[in-house]
Amino acid sequence: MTFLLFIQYAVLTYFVSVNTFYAVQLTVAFTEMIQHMRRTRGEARWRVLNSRVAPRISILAPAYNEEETVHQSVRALMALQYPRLEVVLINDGSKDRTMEVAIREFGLKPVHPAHAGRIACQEITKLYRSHSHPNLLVVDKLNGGKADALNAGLNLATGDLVCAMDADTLIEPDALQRMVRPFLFDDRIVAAGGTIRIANGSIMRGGQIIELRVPRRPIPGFQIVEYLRAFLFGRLGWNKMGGNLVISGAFGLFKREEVIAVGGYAHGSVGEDIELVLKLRRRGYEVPGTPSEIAFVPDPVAWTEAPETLAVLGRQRDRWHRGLADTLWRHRTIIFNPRYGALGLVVMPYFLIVELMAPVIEAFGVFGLILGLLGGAVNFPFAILFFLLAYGYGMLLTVMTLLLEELSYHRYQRVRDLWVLLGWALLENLGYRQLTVWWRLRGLWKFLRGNTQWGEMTRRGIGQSK
Amino acid sequence: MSSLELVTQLIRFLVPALLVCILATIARAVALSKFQKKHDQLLTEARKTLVVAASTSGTDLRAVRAMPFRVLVKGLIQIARSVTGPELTRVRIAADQLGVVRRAERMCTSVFWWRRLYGARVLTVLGTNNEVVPSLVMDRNALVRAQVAEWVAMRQDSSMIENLIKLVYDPVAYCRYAAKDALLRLGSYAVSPVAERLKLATGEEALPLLEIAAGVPNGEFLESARRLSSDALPATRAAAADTLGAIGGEDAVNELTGLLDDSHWNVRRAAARALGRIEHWPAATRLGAMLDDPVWEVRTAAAGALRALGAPGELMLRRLARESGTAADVAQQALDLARTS
Repeated sequence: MTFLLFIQYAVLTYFVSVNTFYAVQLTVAFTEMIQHMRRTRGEARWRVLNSRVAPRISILAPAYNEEETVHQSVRALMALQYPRLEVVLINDGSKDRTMEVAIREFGLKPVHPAHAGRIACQEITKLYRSHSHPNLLVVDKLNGGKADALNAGLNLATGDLVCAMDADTLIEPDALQRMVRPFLFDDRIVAAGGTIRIANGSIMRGGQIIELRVPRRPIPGFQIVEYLRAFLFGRLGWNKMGGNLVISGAFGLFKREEVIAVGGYAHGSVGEDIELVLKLRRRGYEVPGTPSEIAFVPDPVAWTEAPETLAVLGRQRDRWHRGLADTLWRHRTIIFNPRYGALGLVVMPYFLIVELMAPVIEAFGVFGLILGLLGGAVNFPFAILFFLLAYGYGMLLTVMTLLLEELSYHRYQRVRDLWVLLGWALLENLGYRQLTVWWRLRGLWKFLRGNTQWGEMTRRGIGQSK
Repeated sequence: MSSLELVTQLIRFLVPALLVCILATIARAVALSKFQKKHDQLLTEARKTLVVAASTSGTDLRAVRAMPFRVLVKGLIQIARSVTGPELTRVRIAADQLGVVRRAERMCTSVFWWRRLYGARVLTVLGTNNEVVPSLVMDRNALVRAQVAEWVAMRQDSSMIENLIKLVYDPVAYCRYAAKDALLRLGSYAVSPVAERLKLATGEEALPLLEIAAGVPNGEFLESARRLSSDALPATRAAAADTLGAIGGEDAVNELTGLLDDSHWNVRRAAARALGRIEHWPAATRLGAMLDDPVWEVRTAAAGALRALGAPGELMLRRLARESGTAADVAQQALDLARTS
């Protein structure tokens, strides 16, 4: 029983430490947001449209069985407001009519598929160019998965920067003008991520969100709160502290030559996006002078569809956690290694102890608490203390994140939507959070058992939002 | 302290903190919604008057004089960005008469960099005085310095070119980008000052100037570009090749042909590209031989140059495509690309 009590105090200390760190991070995020608003107030972002020194961007758009949406997606990409943009559509061995649709819609003509082959990937069987869309390159290859498709795209892209994205991400028309900013400010930047927001429940027209709404269903609702916390508070806070390790696979911008230098995306990893970012950061220590800083652009730049069922959401969170575990394992020699400076001594230990092990510690804490209560080792006030420190404090930080959203972007225009969001923020810790602990534990278990499957992600399609 | 006491203390802190944050969030949202509605109404009214002011001199501005500064700025900037010539001048006069310019000029003297930056941004579009923004060129904040470059580009103020050239070497990347961009936009005004500076530059110092020279090609850059085509730094030689390709002419061709055998792949690529740009068809044979270069980027640049040569280049590509090996692959791809363009 004494041991049980000791465990409870240890877990409690863990929660206090982590939440205190989050409070510091949130404070840093607030100040960083203020600085960002000051930097961008009144800026003429559009001037990059006719700048001859702006870096060229290639968008890599992997596609697998996308016959219904490929022509819309590609047209939306080509309409992005950025000069000399190249769009590279990579058909990853689709079994449906994705290629036939693309050939018909864009008047594609075959081109001999010679390429640099700097990164290994499944065979590229054909290349296509379009007379009417000279900035479009279509790659037809054997199936190899998302990472493989992106690597094929890297072999053929010609831009100074490459933008990797998911097939169903909706990008704001001026997103690239915002995302290129960190690269113009600082030569040390090697990659930039933007804020991904959830589009579920919003009103869309012509492939654009015209009115942002908060869904009334809890599953996407809780995810909106999570995403706001992750981006507005987590990544913005890390921006200032130099600890950004995650760029969402849904939308990120990278220096192409640096990505090729680190071998592109890892095959056989379900966390290929975080693994790439870690490789890029690591290279900065191993090859002095190479750009290795990661920037985060707090402006909402892209929209995605969140899973609407527990089954799909569970698979997604399971996969994310496996990806994190896999990446930390692949780069375990960095952890606590002084050669890697802040990356090895602060950032990696944080991701190991706080991000990866959090579900384990939390599960220990909750089960230990229940056992302790039943066995009399722990009294009721202690149990309430535990919940207040573990979840109450977290609830406060989440509500403060919503305040940060209101003070900065105020994207949810209707006050009733804000009430709904606040409701999701308060209810999140009563069941949903515990579910995410379970899914992450499951992911960790699968990782330990060597499972590298993606699982099936069923989506309605972002264009189907109300 | 016992658990119960800790719980009580924590509840005493957490519950009010939560309530305050929730109320602050809702209050902010309500206030913003009301403000936004009012702001949009005022902006619509302001636009009506300002559009008339843009098209007709001497418009009565009394209807908008009392409007908030941010509404006036937004309205004026929206219209200023859509007009040029006399209309733009009338918008700027209106901005001056409404006190927007004076207030922005005062902001440029603030101790806070964000106010100086915003003032400079407003004056870039609406300013009438050519002294306030240029005086910020040595500002301690990089964004403010970069904004001066943007002002110069927008106003086409050639008196600031020397300062822009200094900014090209600023320690902050964004200032360097803004300065290069501004010099390119200034076009022919920038030629002589940049050429003068390029005469003495070598190595890394020459790189940004060569980039500008390639963007505004002029015979004044020729001698420097020829000299720098044998610089010790490969990046400088490559940039010199780009500049020679932009300038063209027999002297440029002679240097570029020599650079096709450079030890560094980037220089060979730049030279091949430049010869394609000049459409120097006698180089077809040399370019054809480069389709076997060990570096992919050089092979594709040579193939692209052959495409640009027209008939002689196409003949060379067809001949190479019939052979086997890497040269045949690249040649066939270039021929296919020519058919799609």
